[in-house]
Amino acid sequence: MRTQIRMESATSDEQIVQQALTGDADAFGEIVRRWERRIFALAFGMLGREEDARDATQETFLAAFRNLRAFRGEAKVSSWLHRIAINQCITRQRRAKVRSETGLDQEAEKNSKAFSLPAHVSPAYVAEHQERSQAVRRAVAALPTDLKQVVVMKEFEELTFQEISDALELPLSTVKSRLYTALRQLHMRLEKFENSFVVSDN
Amino acid sequence: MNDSNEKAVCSRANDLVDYLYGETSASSAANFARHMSGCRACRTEFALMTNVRESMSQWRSEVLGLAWRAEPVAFESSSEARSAKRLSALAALREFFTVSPLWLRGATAFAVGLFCLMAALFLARTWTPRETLYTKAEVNAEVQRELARLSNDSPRTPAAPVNNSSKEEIASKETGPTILPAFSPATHTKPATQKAARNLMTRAEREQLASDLRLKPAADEDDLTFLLEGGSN
Repeated sequence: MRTQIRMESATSDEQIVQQALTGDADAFGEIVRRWERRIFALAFGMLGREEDARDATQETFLAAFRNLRAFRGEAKVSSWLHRIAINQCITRQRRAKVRSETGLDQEAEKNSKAFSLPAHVSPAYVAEHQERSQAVRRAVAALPTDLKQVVVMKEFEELTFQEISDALELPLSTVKSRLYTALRQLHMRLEKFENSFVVSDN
Repeated sequence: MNDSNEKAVCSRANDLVDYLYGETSASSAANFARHMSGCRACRTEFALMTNVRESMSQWRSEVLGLAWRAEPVAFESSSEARSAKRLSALAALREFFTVSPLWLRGATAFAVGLFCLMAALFLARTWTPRETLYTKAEVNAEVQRELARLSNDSPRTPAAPVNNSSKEEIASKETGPTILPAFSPATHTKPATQKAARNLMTRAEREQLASDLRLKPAADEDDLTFLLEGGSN
């Protein structure tokens, strides 16, 4: 459905990339404007931190611009961008893993608690809410990369199975089975969290 | 990574995923719903996965903002607005007329008409007087030129005084409609006409004048003395 809406817009992404290749300086800016929020959402889901997500988004578009000539038009621009973004996130995660092993990743948790909630809700609710969000963030972060990218593309970006299949160059059935597995793993981790929350509450 | 580390409890796992995200045809959805009503495993899976999705959605809303879900549509419309900016002025005008209500179109047409009327009035006020009115200097120059022409022409005309006066009338008629308040033709034409009259006197008149000034004896001087003598008697 969303794909159709996108196709109906005045100029397709593919046409804009062709314009960028012929030296139109504004054309690539249009691609960035169209996709930056969605790529940011993907990066946020993958990395779990706003700052990292912003950096990864920026790096994605830089890499896309540098490799613009490598885009031959056999794939859709959106798939190509998502692929670059996923690779950027995986690279960053690897670096972050090295960093956390050396004990430098403590601020991640603190940083992700900064998101504010409506003022009328009770502190107890806020505490539980934040705890749950933290649990989801941790559960997603703990997923293996191949499961994580599928569930983030689906839940954060709301891409269709076909779009995910195109972007990751995977068969549709693999996308679905990975999503299924990812959701089950998330459920188990969240269940564990809920049990621990109930125990600590009592 | 292996996809089978979590074995599906039911063989229709992929159908469950399709159903969960609504990416399936109506008939397939109905088919799976029928299956689910008889499959406890699928019912349980469906419930827990919906729960997970809600948690994910909550987290997503928190970190990306609640307005995020409406974003793609707003994004498309804003990119369309940007491309609309690059339309030609005529196309933009056409678009304005197609999207605006009838009263706005009427009001615009009225405003345009009013503007044209005002512009026409303004032009009429500024242009017409400049074409019909002479400046004072122009009138003076014209009068001087006319008088110079008259004074050059008059010696050659025998019936000078009559002609002169009529020509003067013509001259005054010519300049008449354009006379400015500060300009009086009388003061300008008077010395010139006197001069012209002097030049245009007949021989008899000149002799009369000379005798009046006693430059030479008049022909009827004797009569004059007689008259004088008669007058003294």
